[in-house]
Amino acid sequence: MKNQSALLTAGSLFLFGAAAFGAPSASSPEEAVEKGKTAYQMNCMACHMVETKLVGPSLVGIAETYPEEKRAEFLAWAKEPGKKDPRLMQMPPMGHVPEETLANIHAYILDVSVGKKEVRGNSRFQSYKEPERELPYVVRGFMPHSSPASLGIVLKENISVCWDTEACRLRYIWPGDRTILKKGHTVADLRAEPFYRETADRLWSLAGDEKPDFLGYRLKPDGSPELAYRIGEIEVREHINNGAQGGMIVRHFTLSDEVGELKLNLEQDTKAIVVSDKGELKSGTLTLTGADTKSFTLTISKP
Amino acid sequence: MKHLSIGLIAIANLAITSALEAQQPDWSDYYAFEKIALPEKVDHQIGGLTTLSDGRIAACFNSGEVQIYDPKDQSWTEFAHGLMTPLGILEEPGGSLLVMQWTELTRLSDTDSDGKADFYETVFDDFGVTGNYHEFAYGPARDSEGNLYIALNVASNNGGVFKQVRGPWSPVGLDKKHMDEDNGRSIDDEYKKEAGRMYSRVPYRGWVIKITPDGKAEPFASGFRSPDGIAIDEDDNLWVTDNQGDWKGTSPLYHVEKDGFYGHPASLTWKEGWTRNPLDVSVEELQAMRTREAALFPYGDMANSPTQPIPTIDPEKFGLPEGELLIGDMNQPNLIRYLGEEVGGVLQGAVIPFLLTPELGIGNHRFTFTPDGDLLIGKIHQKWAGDEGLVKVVWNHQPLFLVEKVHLLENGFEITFNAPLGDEVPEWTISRHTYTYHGEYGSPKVDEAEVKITAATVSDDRKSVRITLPEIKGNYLYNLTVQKAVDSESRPLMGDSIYYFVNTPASEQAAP
Ligand code: HEC
Repeated sequence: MKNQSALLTAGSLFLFGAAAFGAPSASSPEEAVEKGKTAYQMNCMACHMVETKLVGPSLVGIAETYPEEKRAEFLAWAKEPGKKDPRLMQMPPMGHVPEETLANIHAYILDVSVGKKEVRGNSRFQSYKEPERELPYVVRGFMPHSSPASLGIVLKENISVCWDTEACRLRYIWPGDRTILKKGHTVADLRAEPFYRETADRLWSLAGDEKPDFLGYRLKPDGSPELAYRIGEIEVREHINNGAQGGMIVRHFTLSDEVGELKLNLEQDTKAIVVSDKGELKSGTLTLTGADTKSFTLTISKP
Repeated sequence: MKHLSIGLIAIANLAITSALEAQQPDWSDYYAFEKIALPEKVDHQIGGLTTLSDGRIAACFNSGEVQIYDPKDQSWTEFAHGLMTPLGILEEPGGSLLVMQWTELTRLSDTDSDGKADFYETVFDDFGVTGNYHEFAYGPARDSEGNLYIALNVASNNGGVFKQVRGPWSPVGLDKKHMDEDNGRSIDDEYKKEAGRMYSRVPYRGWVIKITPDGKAEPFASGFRSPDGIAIDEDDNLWVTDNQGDWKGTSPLYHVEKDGFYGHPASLTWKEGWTRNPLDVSVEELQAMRTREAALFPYGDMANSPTQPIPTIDPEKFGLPEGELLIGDMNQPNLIRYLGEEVGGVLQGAVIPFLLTPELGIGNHRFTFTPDGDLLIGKIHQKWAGDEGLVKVVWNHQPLFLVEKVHLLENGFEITFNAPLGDEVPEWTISRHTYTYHGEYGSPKVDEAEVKITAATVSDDRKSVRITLPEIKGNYLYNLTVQKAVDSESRPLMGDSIYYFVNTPASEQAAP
């Protein structure tokens, strides 16, 4: 009847054993394998299975790469792991495991792999797939050509909007309907070119030197977002939704206060058709005055 | 061993089966583990978990949803969606929920009372985000005055940064052009060292931030690496766990105070008045600046990647004494009890394994106690060592024989149990080691040695043991293990390996 504490210190006990450099610290090969098994369970098993490649390669795979004569390379990897398979994460260094113990683990890996084949990573987890969503759907994620703090606004009819909460502005609109923007923390692959992309450094003539401050967003009953941000004294609300016809989006703006004159620089390097219900839109700049500045609507359509 | 469970926790089973075959104390004599069915259309990894004032449970999932579980009919309903890596959740007095996302602390409010959040309000986003894959954000924890605390990871040089980052980029260090990610390419090997293994080039990566009820934020404490666990206890102590790695020889628990520096230099970039490259600062200088740990979790033995601390509740409900912290871990199939004490003004203490059983499994990430006193555990793996799902741990109200207190003496330890020891005097074994504070990844156990026990005396009421040692060394982790300890009713001691981190020996402390 062993005590649990015996196990809890198993990894460290080998420290006391006298061992030749890099060789398993055991009087017999069987003992090395046995000790290696315990140490493997404590230190490596969370990521390495015997036959299945999951977080890291299987022991069978490791045994192939590191046969008996490559013990030194095995030890070197464990202490200072490199990066090989780009689909896998970086393995943490195992410097806390004494060299003799690592050698025992190596002996165990070679022993347990004899006659076994690596099986493909049949994940131990529920495989999560993006479900069918009700659109519009608003989701945060990393997106190309925008700050890391961006929102994807996935509308109906295969239209998505990238909205940057750092700059407080719409960046671009592209044909797409994926509501999971990221895999891990990689940047979303849009799979299509934007059909509308704003290029001006500054959208609002209001901005002055003040950086706009993002306040959050409200979801309307149909799921479409109304984004809120402050530019100086003015709070702006921007409601984004599908337009009356396919391939069209509407941006409805509401300002907390009327301003004398307001300009929006809507220059684009795309060829979308932009229409405003108020003011004058000329060579990419929308000019509004008086009461018109309090509330207006832009409609953007695919060319 | 009873009820070897199969399926999702099979890995963990394998990992410790051989150890447990031989283990006498069996946690399943006291606690049952039940899986709670989760909604189908979400990723079953849980980033945040909390019990609401009406007894329902709110969980945030890795796929960005907040869902609410009603234990009455075991139903789940969506409260919010589209969040980015939510890693913490907290209810506010009015019923709104605070959620920590990758890029901001968000208040989710249901303003039209239809059961779903319709206002996703930005509470705090005044911190930098580079796009690096390692910049997790944790919290919030709330103190009795309503202040919120969040914790921000540093970035890893296994990845680069976006061309467009949020927050001012510090020019001190490797030129950004060598760090810009291009189609997933990370920093070239030749530049990795100059980038620093972990880096903080936008504010306030590697810091804990305090946000007051009126929305003012202040950088509160620095020196963190990957502080996945942040909690406030009943006495308003702020506790943060961190992950073993560079500058963290083994995973620590910190008692965090304002302006403290907790060891990882990358964060110093954002210290007021600081201008140097943190990579150029000597170990000695950092050593002198840093606050030592309140506890250490020996890597590989007890915790590799510690997670959330949660204060224990009424002993009548869950069986553990009140005033302790329970802490989880990603890699080891056990939880950890932290028994802290203040000795001469310094918080230090012991960690003891709890629920070391394959039925618990690994990936134990987020915790909440239900009104009935059951412990809910949300699991996560992030494609790394871990698991997924929601597990309920229910105590069967059989009293457990436990260590209740570990007290550091000038020349040893006093261990107090919650019941008198049986007639046999149990055998103690003591060893100690320390870790090196350095920039390399983790530290081996250093200067490990067995310690001879000069005397071990049992008190008259048989409820405590005084162990005398030749000396006590500061900055050492003492492992006290006891064999065959049973109480007067022959119940085995649950948790018989104690790791006490002597932050500062009693002899070195100022007299009270
Ligand atoms: C937290 C997860 C984790 C743990 C724990 C871990 N590894 Fe790994 N290991 C990995 C990953 C991920 C890879 C693949 C890395 C890559 O290909 O870039 C890997 C790869 C390896 C390789 C293969 C290297 C090659 O050349 O292909 C060896 C050998 C190895 N690990 C040994 C160990 C040993 C020995 C231990 C325990 C002492 C251990 N690992 C613990 C995650 C882990």
